[in-house]
Amino acid sequence: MDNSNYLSLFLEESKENLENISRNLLLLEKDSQDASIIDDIFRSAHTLKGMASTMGFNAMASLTHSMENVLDEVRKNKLFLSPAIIDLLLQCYDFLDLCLQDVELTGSEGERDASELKQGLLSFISDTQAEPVQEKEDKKGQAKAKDKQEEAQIVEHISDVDLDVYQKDIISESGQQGFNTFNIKIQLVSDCLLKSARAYIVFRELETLGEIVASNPSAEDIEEEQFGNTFSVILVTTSDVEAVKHVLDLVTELESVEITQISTETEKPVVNDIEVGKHQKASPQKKTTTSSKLGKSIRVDIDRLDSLMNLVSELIIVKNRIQSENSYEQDKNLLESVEYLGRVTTDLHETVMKVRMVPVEIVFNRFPRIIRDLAKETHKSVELITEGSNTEVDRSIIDELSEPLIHLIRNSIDHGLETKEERIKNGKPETGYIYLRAYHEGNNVVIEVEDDGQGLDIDKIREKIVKLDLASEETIKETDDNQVMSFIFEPGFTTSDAVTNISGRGVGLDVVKTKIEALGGIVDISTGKSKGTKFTIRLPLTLSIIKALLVKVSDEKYALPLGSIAEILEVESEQINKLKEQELIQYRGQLIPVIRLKKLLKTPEDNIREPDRLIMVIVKKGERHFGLVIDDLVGQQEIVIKSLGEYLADIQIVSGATILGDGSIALILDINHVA
Amino acid sequence: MAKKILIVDDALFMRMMIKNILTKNGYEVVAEAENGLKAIEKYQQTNPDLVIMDITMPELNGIEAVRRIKKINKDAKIIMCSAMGQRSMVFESLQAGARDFILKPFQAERVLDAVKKATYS
Repeated sequence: MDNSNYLSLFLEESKENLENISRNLLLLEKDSQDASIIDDIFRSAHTLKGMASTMGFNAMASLTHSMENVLDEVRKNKLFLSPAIIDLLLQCYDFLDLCLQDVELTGSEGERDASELKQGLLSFISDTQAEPVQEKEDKKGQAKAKDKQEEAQIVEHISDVDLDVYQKDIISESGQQGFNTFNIKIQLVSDCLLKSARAYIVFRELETLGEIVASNPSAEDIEEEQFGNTFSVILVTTSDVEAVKHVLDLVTELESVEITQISTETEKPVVNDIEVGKHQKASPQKKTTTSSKLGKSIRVDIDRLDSLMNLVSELIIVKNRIQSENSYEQDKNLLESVEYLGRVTTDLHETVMKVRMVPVEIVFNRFPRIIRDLAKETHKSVELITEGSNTEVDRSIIDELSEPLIHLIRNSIDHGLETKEERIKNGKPETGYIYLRAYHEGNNVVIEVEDDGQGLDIDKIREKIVKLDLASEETIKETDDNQVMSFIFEPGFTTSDAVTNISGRGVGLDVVKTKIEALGGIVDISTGKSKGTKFTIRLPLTLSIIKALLVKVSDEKYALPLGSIAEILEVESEQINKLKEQELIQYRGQLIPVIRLKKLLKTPEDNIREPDRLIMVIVKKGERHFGLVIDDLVGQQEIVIKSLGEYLADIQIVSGATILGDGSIALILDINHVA
Repeated sequence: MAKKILIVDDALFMRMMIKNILTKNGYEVVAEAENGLKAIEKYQQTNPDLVIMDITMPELNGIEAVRRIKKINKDAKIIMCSAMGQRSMVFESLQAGARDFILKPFQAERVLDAVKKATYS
C-alpha cells in the first residue's frame, strides 16, 4: 500500500498529538499527581506510535513505544514521576518534533538515533521492575542477560515474516512479560455483507482481551473492505486460547477461526503461515483509524482549498464583468439575477474562507514549552496567559505567524521581564507575566504579545536613533513618541546598551516587521518605562479576496482596502494647512497628514486646475489617520488580489493588482506604506 | 427461562416478522417499540435481555437510542437491524455499543444465530 497519500494526514495528526504531549507534560510539571493528564499523554503517545509505525517511521514508533512503557508504569503507580522523567520525556518530544519536521520536508524521518533516549527511558523502568520481578518470578528474574539473549533470538525468528521493528519489539517484549501471542485467521461466511463492520466487531471483541499488533490485510484495507473473506490478526493477550476462542464463538457470520500461538520459546515459531506485514505495516490502532474516518469532519489538502479559492476569485471577476456592462441595468430580469449571483458569490467566498480558517491555538500551543525553556535558561519565573486562542485565522497566515511570535516572546522574556530579584525590588510580583491575546477586529485579526516587564525607555531610544544616524537630533526631538518607537523596527536598530543594560531590545525586530508586512499586516508597539511592553499585530483575515473602494487618480483606477478606510469626506481646498512641507487637515479635532495620491503615485500631468472641493478618503493605520486626496470615486466592490510577482515585489506602496470587470487592471494600494 | 427480548422497528411488518421468528424458537418478546424514545421507555420498564433495534426511525433514531440505553445500562445487549447501504450508520452504532448487526432482508437463521450468541452468558 502506498502511504504517501496519508502523509499530510499523518503530519497533521501527529503534530496535534505531539503538541498535546508537550502541553500536558508542562501541566504535569505543575501537578504530577493528576492521573487524567498522564492518561492523556499516554493516549497521545500511543496514537503517535500507531501512526508512525503505519507509515514505517520506525525510530518514532519505537521511541513512542518506550515512552508509553514509562508512562504506563507511572499510570500504574509503579513509578514516581520525577522531574528527571519529565525532562527526559520532553527531550523525547524534541526528538519526535525534529523527526516530524524532517518528514514534512523530505518525506522520511531522517537518520536520527533514538537509542540513547530509549536507554534513558528504560533505565527508569528497570529500576522499578528489579524488585517485583525477582520476588515473583524466579524464572524470569534469573538474569537480565538471559532476557536480552532471548529477545535477540525471538526478534530473529520473527523477522522471517517481515514485521517492522516496533511490532517485533512488542511481540518479544510481551513474550518476556508472560503474554501470549496468537495468530488468528478468520474466515467470514461466503455471503457476508458489510465485511468491514463484521471485522470491526472481531477487532473490538479481541481487543477486550489484549492488543492487536498487526493484521493482514492492514487495518485500513480491512476498513475499506479491501479483502476477500479472510483476514489474520496478531493478538497479544494475557488470556489463553480458550478465552480467545470463546470470544470469537460469540461473533456471528464467521465461517471458521484458526488460532495458532506464536511461541516465543520454540525453535521455529508457527508464524510462517501468516503473511502479516509483508508489504504493509498494519496499524495496531484499529479504533483510532476507524473513528477518524467516521467523524463528521474531513481533512483536505490545503492546495485543493487554494484552487477552490482561486475558482471563487475567477467567479467574482466574471460577476464584476457582467456588472460593468452598462446595458444590464435596463433588463430587470438580468439585474435581479446578477444581484442574486452577487450574493451567492459573496456567500461562497465567505464559506470558502471559513473553511480555510484555523484557530490560532495551533500556534499558541507551542509557546508554553518555549517559555518554560527560556524561563529556565534565564532563571526567571514566567507565566504565560493566553486569551482567545480559538480565534480563527486563515491557514496560510497561521503557518507564517509562528516565527515572528516566537521572536517577540523571546524578546519579552529575554529583555522585557526583569530578574526575580529586580522585580521584587521594584515592588512587582516575583513571577513575570506574558499575555498572548488574539481577537477579531473588523476585517482584521489582532494578536498581542504583552509583558509586564521593564518596558522601553523612550529617551534612550531617541539617543540611540541619533547615535545610529537614523535621524537628526532636531527631527527626533519633534517626532512624537509613537513614531520614535517605530524606529526599533528599523533594520539597523540593534544594540546592547541602547535600551536596557542587559541587552538591546529590538534585536531582530525588523525581521518580525518584514514578516508581518509580507502577510499584509502591521506591528505596533506600546510601552512605558517599568510598565511593560505590548506588541500588537494586525493581520487581514484573508489574503486573496477583499472588499475595496475603487478610486480614480488622474485617469487611473486604484483600489483601497475597505478595511482601512474610516470615511470619505469632501473638503474645501483652503481647509488644508501647511506646516513646513507637510499638508495637514483638521479631522475630528485632530490634525492629520494629507497625502495627495497624484503626487505620490506620480500619475501623468493632466493640467486640470485643482478644484475648490476635494474628495478625501480618510484611512487609518493602526491608531493613526491620514487623508488621501483623490480625483474621483468609482465604487465599492469585491476584488481579487493578484500578486505582482517577484520582479515588482519591491514596490511597497502597491500590494497587488486586481482585474476589474471590464478587463482593465487596478493597482491595490497598501495603506500601511502609502501613509 | 426464556430470554426476554425487546423489538424496536418503526414498521409493524418488520416487528411481526422478527417476533414470529423469535417466539417460534422459544424466546419471549416482552415489548415492542416503534421509535427510539419509546424503546428507551420500554427498556426501562421491562429490562429485557436483548434489544433488536432498527436504525432509521422517527423521533429518535436507533443509534442515539443505543447510546442512551447504554447510558442506562452499560451491559445492555443490542443487535442492530439495518437495511443495506447504511454502512456508516452500522459502524456508528457498533461504536455506540451495539453488539452485532443483521441486515435486511434477513434469513431466520441469521437472526437466531445472532440472538443466541448475544444472549449467551
